[in-house]
Amino acid sequence: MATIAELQARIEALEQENIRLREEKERLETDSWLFRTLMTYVPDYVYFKDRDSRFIMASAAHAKSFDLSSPDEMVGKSDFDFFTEEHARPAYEDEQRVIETGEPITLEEKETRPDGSIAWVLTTKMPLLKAGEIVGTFGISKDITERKNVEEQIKVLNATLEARVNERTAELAREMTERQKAEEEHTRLQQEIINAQKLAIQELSTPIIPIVDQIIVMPLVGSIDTARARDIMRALLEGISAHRAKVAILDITGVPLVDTGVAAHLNKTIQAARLKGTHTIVTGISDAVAETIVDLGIDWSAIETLRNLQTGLIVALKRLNIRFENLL
Amino acid sequence: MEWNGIQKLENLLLVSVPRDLSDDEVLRLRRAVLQAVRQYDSQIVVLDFAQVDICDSFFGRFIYSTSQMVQMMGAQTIMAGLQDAVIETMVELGMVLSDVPAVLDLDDALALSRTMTQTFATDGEKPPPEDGDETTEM
Repeated sequence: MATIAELQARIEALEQENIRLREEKERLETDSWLFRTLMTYVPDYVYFKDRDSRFIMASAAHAKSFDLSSPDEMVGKSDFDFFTEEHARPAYEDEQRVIETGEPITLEEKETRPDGSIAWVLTTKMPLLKAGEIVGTFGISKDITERKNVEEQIKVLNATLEARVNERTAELAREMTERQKAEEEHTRLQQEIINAQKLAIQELSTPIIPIVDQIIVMPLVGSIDTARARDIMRALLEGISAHRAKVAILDITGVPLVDTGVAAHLNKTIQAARLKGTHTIVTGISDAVAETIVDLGIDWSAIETLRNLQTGLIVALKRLNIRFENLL
Repeated sequence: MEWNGIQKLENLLLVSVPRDLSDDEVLRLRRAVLQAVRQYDSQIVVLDFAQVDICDSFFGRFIYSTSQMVQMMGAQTIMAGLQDAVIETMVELGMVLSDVPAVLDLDDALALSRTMTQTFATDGEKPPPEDGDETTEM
């Protein structure tokens, strides 16, 4: 028989126990309330699955994503009931790997619903432990479809942009080529005009005038450089052949400057004419030219030179024994 | 040595110089010309260059030496039918051969030779030395 003191002590202990239990209960209720709040209001998909990947519990948002009114309807079902094989199979394999290794994984999943809609989720899967043993998996998935769509859109936009840039670049390159072609054509036309004019000037600057039978006159106008001297020589040789000239009169009245170079050029022309049997008379030696030639020490003694064309013509006629009256 | 291009015509020796002669052939041609001058007792040698379209310094020397040798044998050389391109090269090379008379073609060569023959007849056998500038006088 216990004493009153003992009983009182017992009551005391029980009361203590009672307080402790009540406190414990309150704590559990708080935990439960917090957990339910989380599972009800969190916008992410939170779930717990057993070893066979069947749902034990899921967040309300998760149930809503399957068009279910309550997460309870998911219990006992698996991904194969909500998704196509295409997504459910790799997800199942991922979960089995988590169970085997005990290592959590994080990945982006593409979910294809049976109705054909596509969603992207960022998922973390972790092993579900109970008393040190793995009894399943749990995880949290965040819907990133929108972000993914934006990314896809950006990708498409980038591709379009790149295509446009390429197109424009090609267009520019084409335009450049066309412009270059046009420029080349322009240059070619210019060159043609220059060549034609050069030819015209050449013909103009080396005229051969047959005045009497066997006598040709070649009036030279302008300065004489090496290229021009060659043209003059060729024209004179051609003229001699064409007119069977015996005497050629080179009139240099129009040559502004007679220096050593010009004298040498004329010498060669006269020698070339001689090799075709033609005697050359140089006319139009002005007082200034005569002065220059002698001052420069140019020896033109072997060349028949006269002051003007008239005297040159008379000398030529005399040389060929042609009388003036016979010409009339 | 026989050359088809060498023909005797009264007191003339007509030499048609072929194109594309090698240096060796040039020397053989010169010898053939000199032989013919002796054989036919020719007074005038006409070198017709109408077919020649290329000229080098060797060829120029050939003309010059031939004319000198012919002159030593008491005859006169006339150059005929030099083409424009050949003349241009000769002038550039300085081979103007001012002692050798030149004419446009064979017609002029014949005309010149007639004048020369007349001169020989009045002056005796020896042809007068030719002045380059006087070659065309008829």
